[in-house]
Amino acid sequence: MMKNKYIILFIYFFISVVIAHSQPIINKDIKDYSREEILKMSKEMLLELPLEDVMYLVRKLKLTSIEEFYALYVNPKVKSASKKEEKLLNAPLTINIITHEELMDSGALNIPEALRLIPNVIVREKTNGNYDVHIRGNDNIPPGKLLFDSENTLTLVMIDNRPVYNNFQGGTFWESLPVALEDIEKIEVVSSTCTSMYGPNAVTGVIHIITRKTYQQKNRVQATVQAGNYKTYKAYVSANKAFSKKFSVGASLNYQHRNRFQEKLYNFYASRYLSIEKLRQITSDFDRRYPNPNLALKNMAVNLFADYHDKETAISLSAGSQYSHIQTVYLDIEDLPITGRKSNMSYIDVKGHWHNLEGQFSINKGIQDNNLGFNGYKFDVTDIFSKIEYNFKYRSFLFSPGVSFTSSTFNDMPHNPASDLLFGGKVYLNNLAAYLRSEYRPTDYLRFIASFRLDKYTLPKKNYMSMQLSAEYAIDNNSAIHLNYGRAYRGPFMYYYRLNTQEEYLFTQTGQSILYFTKSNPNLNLINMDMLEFSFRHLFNKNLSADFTVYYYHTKDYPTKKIDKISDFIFEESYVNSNVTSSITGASLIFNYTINHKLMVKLFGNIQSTILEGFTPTNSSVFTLSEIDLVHKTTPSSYGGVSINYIPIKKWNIYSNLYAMDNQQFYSIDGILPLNRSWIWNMKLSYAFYKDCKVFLNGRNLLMNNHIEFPFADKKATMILLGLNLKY
Amino acid sequence: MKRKIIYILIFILLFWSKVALSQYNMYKALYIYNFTKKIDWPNDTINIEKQPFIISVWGKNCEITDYLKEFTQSKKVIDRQIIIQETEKLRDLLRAEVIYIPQKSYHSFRKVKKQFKDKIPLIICDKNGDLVDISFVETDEALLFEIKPRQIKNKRLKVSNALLKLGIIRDDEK
Repeated sequence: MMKNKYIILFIYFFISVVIAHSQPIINKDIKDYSREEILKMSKEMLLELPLEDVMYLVRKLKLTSIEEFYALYVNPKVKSASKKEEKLLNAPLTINIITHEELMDSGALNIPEALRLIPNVIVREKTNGNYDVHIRGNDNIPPGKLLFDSENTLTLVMIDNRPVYNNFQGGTFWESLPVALEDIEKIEVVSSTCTSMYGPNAVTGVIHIITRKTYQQKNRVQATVQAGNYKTYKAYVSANKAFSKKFSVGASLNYQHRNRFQEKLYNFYASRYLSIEKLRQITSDFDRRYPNPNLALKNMAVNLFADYHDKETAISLSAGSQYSHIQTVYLDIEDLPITGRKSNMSYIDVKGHWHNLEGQFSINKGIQDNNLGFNGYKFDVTDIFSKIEYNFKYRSFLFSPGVSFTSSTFNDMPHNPASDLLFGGKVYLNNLAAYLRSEYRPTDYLRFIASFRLDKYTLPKKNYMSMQLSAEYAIDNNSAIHLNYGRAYRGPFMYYYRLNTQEEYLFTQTGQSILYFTKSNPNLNLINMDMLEFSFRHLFNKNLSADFTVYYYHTKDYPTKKIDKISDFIFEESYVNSNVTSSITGASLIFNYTINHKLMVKLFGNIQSTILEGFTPTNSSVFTLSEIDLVHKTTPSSYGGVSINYIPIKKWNIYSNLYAMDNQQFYSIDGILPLNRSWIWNMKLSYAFYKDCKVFLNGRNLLMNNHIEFPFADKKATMILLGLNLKY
Repeated sequence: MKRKIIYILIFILLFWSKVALSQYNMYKALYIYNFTKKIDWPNDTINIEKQPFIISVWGKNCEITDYLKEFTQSKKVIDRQIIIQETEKLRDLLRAEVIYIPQKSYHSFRKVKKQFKDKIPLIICDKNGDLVDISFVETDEALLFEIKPRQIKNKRLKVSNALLKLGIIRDDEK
């Protein structure tokens, strides 16, 4: 009897367990369900619910969805400000981002154009698709030099932490970046000095391009084509395959072609724009310099990606190859400011982490011709970048020590006549660095950050210590104050430290020739900047945020040319540090307002003033200026934009953005050139005709501005493009 | 001239964008199934004894149809098997007890209204209109529904108080 009782109890227990596991009994209060749990609910569970509970679930789903959606725009997660993921509100440096979705919705055709959607960035178009990009100014200092010297060499651009800085003369060759907008997960722009974290050249900040991981896209094939006026064609194809949850691969191919907005080119001798026919008659080697005078930009690239990740380990491999040919205002030697530039480079980048240890190695190798049709400017280029970092915690401290080694090698011997070598063969510049970043959190509301980096270069033979000191006070969950001080150094590059030329210039109009010697200066100090920044960020509510920042920069040791010898036939000069210092005082205000899930507005603007000290016409260049103003007006005193993303209904998207810059005055060797106020309005309308497949109409510069944004460049024009985006 | 062309193109595209679609079709299907449970269907309102209980979706290739089929699979209303059908034919509608009209199809449905004689089925739609008995109201924060009890009563159907409490009773119907 006793035995039977146990058997009955066991059967009862067994049946109860089976029933419990087979029936969708909802014994949890419906209000306790998270968004994920609601989304995972089976059909049976949903059918069991009374209508009022179903209505509650929908409400919760909608609300959490909206909150996540709001957070994505108003207080997104960022990583580049501290090398670890955190909310924008708490990021120690000034940082702003643009996501993949916004990049796609915006209709921007390439990376520099997309930067017009990000606060603190000054973007000027030179020729169709070729841009001059600066963070908070510091452009063309000291004034009155070659246009070539006005290139932004103070901002570091990285793709997945790999610097893509050009070591010929500094700066970024945007057209030679192998990735297309479609490959990008997000772009993070740090607008504070951060060389102590990312190494030399991150003086005014970092533009960090973060590509999409193959495992984020799983098995997906995507193709985009777009065509418009000025022979603008854009094509992109990519495919991803996930072999398992841990391992996935992908490949992408991109192509872009754009013609110039006008057929005329500016000629320094004539001091005006001349037709191609006329220039062909009066310019030596015209067809060699301009094989296609109407071309603005042509680039293509292929990229391969592979990702492996598990709980403790992640390894990413990317490799690719690019070809580009552009015609833009760059090396304004001799008669024409617009010059041709070609690049054919291949790269491999391996990075990964194992527990708290991180490492990266990349090599970028190929051929660059920086002044098409001129001897001396074609090089074999090899850039190597490597780093190892380790992160560990000790009580309330967080430490991240690291070492890095970079090397850049240029060889002009294989591609130029022996008489026209800029560097006289193979030259290199190495950089070995050790750095430490530390964080201390005495309370939940306070955070102190200190980072230091010691750089040792091949040239100049002097050690440089850059640093960053930051303090954060979180007033509450919705407000934070940040105070930053940074000292940053730009790195050395070939043109200032390895140049050794003897060129004969024949002035075509006068028939006179002159021997022109330019010598590098191994003792030239690196440009250095001190920055002080105060910011207040506040979330008014879940869908509205504001960021107010006041900043001050003091920069010195700009390089400038010094004449060593001058006569009727000989001209000798070398680079020295200028007496000119610049001080920028400014403020920025940013609002992110997500009115609802259909309407997002971003409003941002800067006002600032740049004062030059120690500047006189004679120490700026051999050419004197007739009018000098201590207030440096090359940087606009105000600039900013507004972007509106409107989703009227599920399948439609309207993205509109307006970017504006105040009047500027560009000091060049030819005098002072006024640049008009710029208002650039762009708009893209897209319609999803099947799932994620879209057809779109893309308008650029719809206010039809037709002035120049950069000295001696092409007048702007309006572009209308029609495109198709297929995803499977 | 170029400027005018651009403005015209923008206007045309904006005009086309008036067609609305909901992203909550799965939950609408669940609502519709729940509506059928909270309405009394007198025996004499059933067209043909022992015939299936038909819910018709007016239109073609509607996303909600799949969800409705999924939720009502082997489900019954007053002992009648629920059948979901998509149609654009009047004769199919005449056999239905419930008609769901996606917003995009409402205009075409108005044309067939005159064809109904004695009995008009319960009409559920994404937007309110004179023919509609229950209409969905989708806001940023919820999926609600408006209900017209008097109009439904005229169809000799009885709406439960529980359903009336959850819905928004149209002012003109109070």
